[in-house]
Amino acid sequence: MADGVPTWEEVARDYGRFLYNVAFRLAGNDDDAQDLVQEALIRVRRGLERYVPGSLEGWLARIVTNVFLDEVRRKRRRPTAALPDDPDRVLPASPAADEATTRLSEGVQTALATLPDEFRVAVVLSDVVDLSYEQIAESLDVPVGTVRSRLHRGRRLLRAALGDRGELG
Amino acid sequence: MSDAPLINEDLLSAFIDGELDAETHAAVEARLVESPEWRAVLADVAAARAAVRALPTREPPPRFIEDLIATVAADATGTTGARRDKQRVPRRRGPMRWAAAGAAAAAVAAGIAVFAVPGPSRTAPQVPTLTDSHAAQASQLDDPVSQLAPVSAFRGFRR
Repeated sequence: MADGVPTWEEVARDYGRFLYNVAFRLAGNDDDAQDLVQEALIRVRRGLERYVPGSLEGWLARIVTNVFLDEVRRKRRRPTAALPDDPDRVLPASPAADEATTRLSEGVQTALATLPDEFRVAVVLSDVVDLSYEQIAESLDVPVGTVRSRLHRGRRLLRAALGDRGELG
Repeated sequence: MSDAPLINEDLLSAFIDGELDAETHAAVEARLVESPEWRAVLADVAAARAAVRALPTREPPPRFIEDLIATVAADATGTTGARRDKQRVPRRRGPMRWAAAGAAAAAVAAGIAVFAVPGPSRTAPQVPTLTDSHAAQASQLDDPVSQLAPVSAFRGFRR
């Protein structure tokens, strides 16, 4: 690491799990999360020399979010048929997680996936990555008021979806 | 005319996130005291926020990050000879993949055999030789499926 800037291998090794978690919450499945992380790390490799030491997680979250949104836009331009889920690629739950916790987590993830992309991004950046509204606004290149509105509406929709699924009553 | 800040329901999420200035925070707090509807909305967004924040960290598949580092590093040194942005990390396959690959290979072989009858000597290339060769290669590389397919471009999300 020179001048506080990690090497690409250090970023991949030390923040790969972080990137994967964000990618999974955005994409909603492991296959797409792997694609997002791979593309994000390729962009990190290209852009690392321009990285100014600061919140590395914030910078990485911005990159993986942009990869996700680029793909969403690409998909809107060229819709593709959905493929069936690949059951042998679904990871087993953490051994430490009990069944009820796992079921609730899956319910929340499923509800999260029902949100419009812009709302889901705001919710993930706030409640998974824990970025401030200002950091989210900067990441998405939108005003703070837009972040506030998307986040609030996203949470309301999420609460309704969780209620519909009987997850939170 | 009152100097009180204009407030709307969107501020409730910012209220629980601590993202409001003191004056607006106080105004929202005052509205919450007098409005059961606002209190209900606040409870809803707080529940959603807590549910997402309680999600466990999703772990990548075993060796995914290590394989990714190795793939990109190999490409950077020119070992793979492929463009970096087109190279994909090999995906690890479970037992069902092996079964599916075996079934697919058998189906392909059977299909070719049917079309080859009655002139097996005209079949070129020789299917048995190819399948033996593929099986040997797959055993060495521990991944029969990706050996059948070319490197593919990012093919989009599932939904």
